[in-house]
Amino acid sequence: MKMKAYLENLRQWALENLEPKLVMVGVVVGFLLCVALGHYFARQNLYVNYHRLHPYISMDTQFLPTFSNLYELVKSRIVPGKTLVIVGGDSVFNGQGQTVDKLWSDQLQKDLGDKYSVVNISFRGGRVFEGAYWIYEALSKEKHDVIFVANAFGAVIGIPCGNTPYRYMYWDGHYKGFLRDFKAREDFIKFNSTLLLDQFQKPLDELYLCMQIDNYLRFRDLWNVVSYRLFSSIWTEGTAKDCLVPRILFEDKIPLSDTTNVRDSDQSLWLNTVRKYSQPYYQTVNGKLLPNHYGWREFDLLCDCAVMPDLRSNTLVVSTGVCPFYFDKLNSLEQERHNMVLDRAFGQYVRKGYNTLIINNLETDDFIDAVHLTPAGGYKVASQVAAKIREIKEKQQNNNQK
Amino acid sequence: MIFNTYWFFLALFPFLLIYWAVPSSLGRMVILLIFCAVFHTHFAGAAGVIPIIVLALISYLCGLSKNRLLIAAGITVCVLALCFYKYLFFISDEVIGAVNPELGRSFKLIFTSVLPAAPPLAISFFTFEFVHYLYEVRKGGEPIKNPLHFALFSIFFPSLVAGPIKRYSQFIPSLEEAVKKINWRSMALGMVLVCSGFFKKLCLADNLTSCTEYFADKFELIPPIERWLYLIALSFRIYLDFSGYSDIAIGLAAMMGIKLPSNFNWPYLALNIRDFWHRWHISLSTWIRDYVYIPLGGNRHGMVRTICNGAFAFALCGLWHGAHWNYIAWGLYHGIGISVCLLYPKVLGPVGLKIQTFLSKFWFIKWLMTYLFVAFGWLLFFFPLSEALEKFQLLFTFGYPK
Repeated sequence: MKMKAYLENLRQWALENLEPKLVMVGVVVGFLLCVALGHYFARQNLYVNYHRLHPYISMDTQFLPTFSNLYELVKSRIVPGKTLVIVGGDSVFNGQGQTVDKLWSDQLQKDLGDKYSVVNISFRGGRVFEGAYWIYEALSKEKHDVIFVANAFGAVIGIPCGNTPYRYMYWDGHYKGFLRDFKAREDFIKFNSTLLLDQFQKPLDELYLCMQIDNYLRFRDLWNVVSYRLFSSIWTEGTAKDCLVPRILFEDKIPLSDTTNVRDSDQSLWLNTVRKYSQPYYQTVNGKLLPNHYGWREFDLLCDCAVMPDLRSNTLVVSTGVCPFYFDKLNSLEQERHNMVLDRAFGQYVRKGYNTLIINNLETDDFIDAVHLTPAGGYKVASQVAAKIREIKEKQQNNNQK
Repeated sequence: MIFNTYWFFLALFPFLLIYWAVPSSLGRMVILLIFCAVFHTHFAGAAGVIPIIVLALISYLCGLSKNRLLIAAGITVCVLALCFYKYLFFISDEVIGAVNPELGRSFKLIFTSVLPAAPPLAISFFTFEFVHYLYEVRKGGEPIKNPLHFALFSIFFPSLVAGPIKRYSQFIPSLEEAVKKINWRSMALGMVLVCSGFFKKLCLADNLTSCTEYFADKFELIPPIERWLYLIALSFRIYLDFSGYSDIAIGLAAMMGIKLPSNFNWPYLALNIRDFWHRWHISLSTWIRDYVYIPLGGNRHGMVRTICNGAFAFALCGLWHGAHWNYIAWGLYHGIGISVCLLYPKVLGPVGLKIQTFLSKFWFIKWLMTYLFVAFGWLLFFFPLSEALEKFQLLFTFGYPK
């Protein structure tokens, strides 16, 4: 009751004493100040003590890094004379199952040594050429020495303007002018938009508007700074009672998983996931596998418009494969299909100018489930990726000398 | 929520600038009408706009005629249109289907073929405003002669989607006054109200929505004390959501100098259930009072009739919120609550009077009883009957169900 009376008095006081034109001017000035702050923070590296996009600074808890956030983070890792290695991809390369002190990409840094600087900006649920690739493309405007590494499963690639839930980042980069002109990609996006039903088009239109407005007002950059450093404003299952705590105070708590999880995890779910990787590309007719031409044509097209041709020679696509425990549970035809898809897709990547690495010496104990790696598995991957990166660099140096 | 779309944000600013810049009253009204039409068409689509135009034309012409029979016909058409668009599936699924499922399915098939995928946007609000207008004209009120005024009364964008439900006798004079000159004080106040509305909606209500939705199906798993916290969160979720929306609507209108009726007045400070309905969704409760309860006889025909009238009016109020039994149950629950609140001193005789005297001394008990009554009611509002009762039981279960 007292509160109500107090607020009423306050309102009365405001009505009697505040000059409305001054209030309006104050609102406009405050708004412009926020815009200026947004532009300022868009040019600063937001992250402190960064190792990877853990759940408290990523989509998992509704913290959506802006394009500028990641761009500035990656730029902060550029050291003259060192090759920058940008790690993209999905939860496998994000290090699901590895604690932050046993993260595979930190091991990759150690394996590569002082001549390289590694930054892991892969997302859980991301695709091969989402997020991190766009940052790589944006950086390529400035002619830095960069190698982009991402993991892929068979022919799963995703559309070049981003898939749910990371589509926002493509349009963020697009409208802020970070991305380069790439006709093949633009043609694909134009064609793809004609296939969309109205119900999907409306939310996309809102997304485009949001990103166009944000290009001028930078409210997302400003709000990310507030959420990261001052207080968070969104309740999520992950942050729960700590939903107001600034994200900077959250530790990277992805748990360390052991190999017993491989057998404990939902086997049918994982088996279906493994099957899904290869299913769209071959069909079984009279006990024989026949290629699905539609699926391969689409893969071919996506290979062409996902990564700009001049960036492919510095792009490394890695297959970490499937846990042998699960692979053995597939029937012989499914196993054959799986291998055929991997061979054909990675062969295609090579033909299109990408570098590839198929890691097939991982054992069941290197996985926590069908696809994610233990620290030991991660370290094996790190050493092979490091070797491949050095090989790419050597090849480049030889070419330059010639 | 339409006000938190980027489209609206982007469209509103140029509109307001033009509205304020235009020097003539007529010019301002035309600009306002154009924006209202664009707003309505953008969000409702052609299929949603056409039925409203037809209903508005019928209401306008019937009102102009001042013919009681024609006006009654106009009211009937409006009510039938509401039933047609909003309640046919309820009739087939939950009324006919409950008695004879086969017949219910047959009716549903027929209704599906004639009904659009979704009812026209805000059909309930339109219908209530048109019925109010025609009823008042039938009672002898002066009809709106100026078609521009009627069009603006019909599709005034701030109150179009979720009210407050306007009264034409207040709206038209306010509109005429507003367009004459810029009212800086009203503009500044409106801006403050819009900001507070967005704060209530986006920062408070949306978080409470995420939180309560997450815990809704885990209700039996959370500790008993947290179940009560859940109930409180649920009651504040709907209050902040709806009152936030109303604040934005009233604030937007105020920014144009137009006064809309207030919709909420600290409802959770009410000391009895009648008092609550004087403070909650005021524009709806007064509409129900004026156009359902009083025409039915109100409290003028004895106790039984008063109870029946109240129960019917509130059941209708519940049904207006959504075409499901739980809304009707919620309405009836409040109807019965008000009847008990009004009649217990008479029905219980001296005991009732003693209770009344006791309660008048201890306002906290009155407040607590009212708040709990309302909060329990929200279980009926948000969940199907059986689930609401289950949750109600769990509130008094100390421990976890086996």
